[in-house]
This record gives sequence, C-alpha cells and structure tokens, in this order.
Amino acid sequence: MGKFWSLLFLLVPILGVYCFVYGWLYNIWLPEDVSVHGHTIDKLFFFITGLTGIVFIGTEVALFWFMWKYDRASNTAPVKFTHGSHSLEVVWTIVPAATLLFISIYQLNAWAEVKLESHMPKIPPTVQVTARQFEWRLQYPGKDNVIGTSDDIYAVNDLHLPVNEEILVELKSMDVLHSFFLPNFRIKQDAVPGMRIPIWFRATKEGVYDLVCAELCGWGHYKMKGQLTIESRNKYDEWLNKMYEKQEATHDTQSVASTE
Amino acid sequence: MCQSPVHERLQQFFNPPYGATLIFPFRFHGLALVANCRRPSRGSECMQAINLNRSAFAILFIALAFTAVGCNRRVEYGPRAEASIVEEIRRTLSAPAPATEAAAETADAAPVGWATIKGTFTVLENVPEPAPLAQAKTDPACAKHVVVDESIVVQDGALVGAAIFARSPKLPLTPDLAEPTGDVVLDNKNCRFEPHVFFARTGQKVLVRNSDPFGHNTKIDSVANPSQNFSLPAAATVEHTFGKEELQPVKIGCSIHPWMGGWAIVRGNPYGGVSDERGSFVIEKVPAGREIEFQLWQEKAGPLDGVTINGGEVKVDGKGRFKLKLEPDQELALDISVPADALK
Amino acid sequence: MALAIGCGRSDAPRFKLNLPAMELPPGPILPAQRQEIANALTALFGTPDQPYVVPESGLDLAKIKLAAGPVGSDQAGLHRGLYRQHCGHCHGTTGDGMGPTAAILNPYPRDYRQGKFKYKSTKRDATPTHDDLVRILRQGIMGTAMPSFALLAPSEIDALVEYVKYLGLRGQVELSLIQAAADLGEGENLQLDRALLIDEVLVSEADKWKTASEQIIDPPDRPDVPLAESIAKGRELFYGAAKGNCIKCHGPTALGDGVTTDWDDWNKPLGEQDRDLKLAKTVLAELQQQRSQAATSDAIKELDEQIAAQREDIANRQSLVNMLQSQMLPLRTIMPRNLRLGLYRFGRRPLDLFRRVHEGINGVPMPGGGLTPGFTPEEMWHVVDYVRSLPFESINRVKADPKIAGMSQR
Repeated sequence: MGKFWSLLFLLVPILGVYCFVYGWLYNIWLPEDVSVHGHTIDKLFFFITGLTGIVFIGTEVALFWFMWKYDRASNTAPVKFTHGSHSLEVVWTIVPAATLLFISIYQLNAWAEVKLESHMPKIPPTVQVTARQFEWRLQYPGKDNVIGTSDDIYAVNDLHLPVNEEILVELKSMDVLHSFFLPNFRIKQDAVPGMRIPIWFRATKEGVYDLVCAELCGWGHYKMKGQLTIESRNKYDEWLNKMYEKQEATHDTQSVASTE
Repeated sequence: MCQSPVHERLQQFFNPPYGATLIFPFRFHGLALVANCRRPSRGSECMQAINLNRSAFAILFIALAFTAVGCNRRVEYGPRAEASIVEEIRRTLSAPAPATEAAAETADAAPVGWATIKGTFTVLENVPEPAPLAQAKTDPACAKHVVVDESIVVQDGALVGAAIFARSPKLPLTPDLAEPTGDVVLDNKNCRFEPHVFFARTGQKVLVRNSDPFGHNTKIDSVANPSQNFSLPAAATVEHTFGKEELQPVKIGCSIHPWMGGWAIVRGNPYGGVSDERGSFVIEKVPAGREIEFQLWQEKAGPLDGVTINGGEVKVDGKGRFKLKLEPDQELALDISVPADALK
Repeated sequence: MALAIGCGRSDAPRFKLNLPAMELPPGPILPAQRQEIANALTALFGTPDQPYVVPESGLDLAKIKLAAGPVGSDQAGLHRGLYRQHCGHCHGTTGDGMGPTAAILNPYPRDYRQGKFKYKSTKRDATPTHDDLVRILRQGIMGTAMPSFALLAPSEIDALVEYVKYLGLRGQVELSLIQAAADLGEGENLQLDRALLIDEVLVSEADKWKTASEQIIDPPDRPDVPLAESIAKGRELFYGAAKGNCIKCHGPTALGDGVTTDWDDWNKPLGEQDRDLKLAKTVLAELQQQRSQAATSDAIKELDEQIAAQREDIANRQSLVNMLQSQMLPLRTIMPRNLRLGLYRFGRRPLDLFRRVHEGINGVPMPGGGLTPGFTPEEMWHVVDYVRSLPFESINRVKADPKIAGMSQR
C-alpha cells in the first residue's frame, strides 16, 4: 500500500510540470502583452515561476523518495530518532533568504518603471477613471486638456485610448475599494476612496481589450466589466468629437439604440 | 412553505427508523463520535447517547430556525392562482367578444321624462371641530391662515363636502346636457383648495387657479387619466380636463405644501354633486322611469354607508349605494342622515 | 444544512400581488376578489418561469422568454434568465423594486408596477419609449445604484427592456383590477371575461406603452443668445419665485438643501398612513390631557368615550401601518438633487436637462415648467444653461450674494 501512496504523490510534480509545459507550448500562459513595459513584468514572472518551479519539483521528488524508501510494509525495524543536522538547517535558511533578497533587488527597476511617481510622464491626465459599484465612469479632459471643466467628455465602461502614446490615467473610487485591471497591459492598481492614483502606460497595438475589476467590491463585482479600445490618434480624436457632439445634443437626431 | 420538508427531515433525525442506523453508523455524543449500537434497550448507555443527540439536534434546530427567521423577510405573496380557472379565463379571452349591442340599446333608450333630486346631508350628533394642522404653521407664508384638517367638516349639523353620484355611466342626457356646461374652478387660496371636494364631468373644463400671492403646485393623482402636476406661480390659471371617468375619487395635493389636500369626483355623466356648506345638493334632469344606482362618498369614510335616507325609506347597502326610480317631473327630496359613527 | 436542502426544494418563483394597494383605500379588497385578481393576472401574464402575453398587449413573447425564467443557456446556446441574472436582485421578481439588495440602496430601485418612470424623453405622465429604457440600461443612472449594462449584446438589452415593459404592464393591469374590484357592490364578483380584462383594462394600459413614442418632447431650438447671457438669465429664473422657484427645493445654494418633507409616489402610501397614525396619537394625548383637567363627571364620561374611540382608531391605523411596513421598504423622504455635483441621472445632454425642466420628474414633486403658465421654452433653455454651469460656479458667489444669503431656507 505504501508504494501506492508514494506513486500517487509523484503524480503531483508530474501533472504540475505537464501544466506548465502545456501552457508554454500552446501559449495560454499570459494574455497577449500590448504594452511597452509589459515584457519586464513578464520576464520577472517567468523568472520567479522558473525558480519556484525548480524548488517545487525538488521538494516533490524528495517527498516521493522518502515515502518510497520508508514505506511501513518494508521498514519493520524500530524507528530511530535523530536531532538532525545543524549545518543543513543553516543552509536551508540562508539560501532562500539570499534568493528573496536577490528577487527584491532584481525587480526594483520593473516596479519603479510602473509605480514610482518619479517615472510618471509629465503630461496632464489622459482620462479620469472613477470606479463605482459596479461600473467604470470615465471623464476625458476635452479640448482644454483639463479635467473638471465644462468641456469634459463623459463615458461609461467604454474606455478609448490612443496607440503609441504616453497615457496617464487618474484613478478614483466613488465608494469602496476596486481594482483597475488591464490584463493585456500587465496593469493592476487598486482604486482607493479618497485618493487619486496615477497609472501610466503606453499601448503598442490597436485592438479591443478587457478592463475588469480585480478587487471583490460587492455583490455586483462580477458585472463590473469594461472594455478598452486602443486606436490610432485620428480615430481616437474622431471618437472624442463624436462623444462630445452627442453630449451637447439639443435634439434627438438618431435613435439611441442604433448609435450607442 | 419551506419549513415542511425540513421538518420532515428533522423528524427522521429525531426518530430514526432502525434501518436508518445502517446508513448513519455513527452518532454524535456531545462532541465525541461514538459507535452506534443496533438495537438499543431502554436506559442503556447507547440510548442515553441517542437522547443526548436528540437534545443536541433540538438546540441546533432552534438555532437554525432563528437564523432562518433572521434572514428572511416574511414576504406575503397573496393567493396562488388556480390553474384550472386560469385555463378557463385564457379560453374565454381567445374566443371572440360576444355582442353587447343589446345592453347598449337599453342604455340609449329615450327616458320617459326627467326629474330632480334635492337633498341634504345632516349629522345629528356632535362632531369635534376640525383640528388646525400643525404642519401648516411651519410655513411662513401659510402661518397667518388657520389651516384645518378638512376630512370631516360639519357646520350646524350639515355635512359639508360629501358627494353623491350616479354609478351607471351610460345614462341618457337631455340635449342641453349633452356637452358639459360651465367650468369648475379649483382655487389654491389661503393655503387650501377651494373647493375641498368638487364634482367634474368628463370633458368639463377645470380651471386650476392660484389666488395666493406665492407659488403653489397642484398635483392631480388620477388613475384612469394621466396624472398631472401643475406648477402655479402667483395669480396663474391653467386649464385641465379629465378625458375618462374615474372609478374612485381622485386625490389632489400640493407638493410645496404637503398638508394641502382635495378631492375630485370625475364621472362620465352630470348626475352627481357635492354638498355645500348647508349640506345640500341638487341634481337636475335625472332620467326618470329607470332604475339608477347612486353612490354616497365622504373623504374620511370613503363609501358612505350606515346612513339613513328619508327615515329608512330608501335602502342603502354596505357600500353606500342605493337605487332610485324616479317619476317624470318628480322633485325628490333626499334627507340623508349620517350618524357620527359612519364618518370613520 | 438541512434547512438549505429544505429551502432548495421550494416552489417555482411566482409573482407577488400588490398587497399594499389592495389594503389601502379604495380597498381593502376582499379575499375572494384577491383570488380573482390573481387568476386574472396569471391568465394574462403567466408566471415568472412561464410568461404569457395576449396579442393585445403589444409585447413580444419571444423577447420576454429570453429574459424570463431561471438563469442558464438553452440547447441553441442562447443565454436565458437575463432578468434574474442582472436585474432581479434589486428590482425583484415581480418588478416591485423590492429585491434582496433593494433595502440597502439609496435611492431605492424602481418599482415598475405603476408604469411610472422618472427618466424618459416623453411627457411627464407618459411611459418611457423603448429607446429610453435601452438608453437607461446602456448608460446606467449616475448617482444611483443602477450600473451601466453597455457591454450586453443589443439583443439582450432589447429582451430586458421588453421584460421591464411586461412587468410594468402586469402591475398596471393589477392596479386597474384593484380599482374595479373596489367598485364592486356587495356580493358581486369580477367578470373575468374579455370585456373587462382586455377591452376595458388591458387595451387602455397597453396603449400607454404603445403611444409613448408619440409623446416625445422635442424642444424648440435653443435661443441664439451668448452662453454667458443665457446663464445669467437662467440664474434669475432659478432664484426667482415667479416661474422657476427652483430654490424652494434645491436650496439657495443648489446643494439640494431646500424643503424635503414630502415622499415620492412609491413611498407615499406608507408615508401618509404613518403621518396620520402619528397625528391620531397626538390627538389621543390631547384628549388624555383634557380628561385629567376635566371638572364634571359628564365631561369625563364624554372624554372617556372619545378616548376609547380614538384608541380603537389608533389600533386600526397601527395594524394597517404594520402591514404596509412588512410589505414595503422603509420610509424615506424625498431628496432634492444637489445640482453642483454634475451628476445627471438621465444624461448630461442639454436635451435631457431641457426635458427635465419642461416636464418635471414623474412620481416626485419636481414640477414641469411646461405646465407653468407663462414659462416659455426660451426661458427653460436659460435654466438648462444655468444648471449646466452650476458645477463650475463658485459657491462663494452664492454666499456673497446679499439677496440670496438673506433668503430663509423654507
């Protein structure tokens, strides 16, 4: 029976490695990266995954080996207790500590690039995103490039941004904690009530991407979905103009259902 | 509803058939799990354990019951529809409508003549004076007027603002009454509606006026007709007409002065009226020679029942309704005596 | 756990009758008639799992079926049960605005059953058009808990709107039947035939929805006045008692701090009964006071009778209020909008604001300028311009204005 259990536990590292390799082969690991800084985060991700993967496999194989060797059926002799090895303990404390220290230093640049305000582009905010139970309210600065004036353009859940330009999002929350998550841009930032949090990135590819809430924000969390459309500067300006015109409408021109 | 299956389940727990012990080979004894015994004899250790279990489950059940009560608002749904009757109604709805010409003919038949009804509402017992409304005093513009609760107004034994109207909508009309005559004025005056209760025919012009030197609004909560909310600056007048008959008296209010209230009786024919300050009303040119059902209504009482008409000559039912058959050119006097108890 | 299993097997969901309306004047409706109304409504509209409509309703059963029933996909991969997935938890299975999450929201979710909606392009008393409801679903309603459903497929939004209309119509028919039942004589029954259900009730209620698009408010062109001038004129009207008188409720600062003693139409039945109960209690206290000071035994006897009668009255009122409280959400007074936040419920287009100023808001005290004698459309455009400029006007300007600063907050 003991052999059975050890073999069963051997399946864990095998299946684990299989999943990793399968994900790699079929490219279902991470969503497509369409931001400039994304690759540094991906690099970190794979580095840490590799590192922990090696430790994982080593630990699992050791577990299997001990179970196999010290099976109760074949080990009938009385058990001997031992205090253990002092030097071994020192080694398995220092090695992980050093590894962690290395990782913390190694990731500094990536963190600074995405989160440190000294790296923030010196531009006025492209858009203000206000998270609210359960939607994303968007406010564009309009022609004067200042948010909070009468020519602001408002939208909801449908975020449009230009490609290949520095983008500065100002994130706010109206009620509770939310998290602004753009999987394709490797961006995840909590929205905290009472704070204006800057987020910056540069998109490299046009397309329609997901915007989701990554913080359980209430019973309607699941419906807090938005979409981000990255488009050329021309199309983006056109869209902004169209939104502004619609917002200033004094007559019903077209059926709402067909245009929005 | 959701309790009965639970109850059954718990019954099984409390009084398990012996076969069930095969499915549940273990029982909780306090916190410890004890092996079960197949056929426990009375007083045995095993039986004691089972009894303990039962009390433990009883406590658990009570706790769960509390949770259930705490979580669920007791929502009443009203009666459940009866499937067979629903089927039957659907069948009748899909069948073509039967001709209703016969009924229409009798309604349009020319009457033998016309009669007049004159009447008074009297209250014999003492009724307390209308109480001043405290809320009206909080408004600086209205504080100088004494605004009272007008739901029951009795002046010298006369009931003011009680209504009477014919229920049967399709009644013949004299040619001069074919179209509504005269306008009704609803005035916002001294922080109250004047008149407090009025009668209006469908199609009749209702002039809503503001005689106060400050703004009012007049909110007409009609049901069959679209409800309306007029904003009335000082000295303004607007016109309103009710297109359809209202089954129930319509409430009128003012959002700026929430204590202001009034009522409109909106009927498809002119055969109705509201008692004036002497408690009297006149209904003219009522078709004679046919039975007409009348309804009595008062703000506080709603349908005014329990009244005596002409010393009991005319029978009034529990909904404040009575039937009259008038002779041509008759001038019927109705002496409606209202006990104070009926005004509740 | 046993409880959970027990409840899991509960019956299929069903529509709730409008019991408060049956209890209140002109009711109460007798049990036999309640049963008749339940039968008639099920015959006309079916159940939440098996909706049904008659052709006269003008509703599309295919769309309604997409929105009704339990959540899930059918064999063709069509997503069903949309209403229960997206709307039911606030608006309730019956569309009574009393779903499980309703009580924690402010404002409360809409109760569709009166066919009364606040935000629309049509006249105050008209129902919204199909497009109006689509717009609400796409945009959400700022300042309320209603989120945007912009990313749902157009066909799904269409189905949901149809279902909202269906629930509204069902509630309207129910109210009409309640009126008809209240009008019955003693011992009479409702004639649940075509003449009453279809010709008299359903057709006239369904017409309200069918004719909504004929009642759209299309404003005249905005006057050709410079914006600053228009704003100044609008400001005069906003503060002036003659026409606008907006400050009465929205307050001299436009922060929504004016008079707030009323209820909205959905809350009102409970509010009025509650107020009358309190009034009856103060009358009782006065009577007791009088009795303690009464001199003659005759006076005491008379007062005792009055007190007994008053006590009985209070007991009756109390049981009605208790009944209403158990069937309705807790009472809340209306809250005039703070116009300085720049949050506009139905949208910030000048068109939307014009319609609000012109028609007011149905179901709440906000009156419509279109019904105010002498209030011209040009003037309403000025008010719109001023309201749109309010979020950017310094509040110090208001406080410094001696005319306004001296104004008592009534």
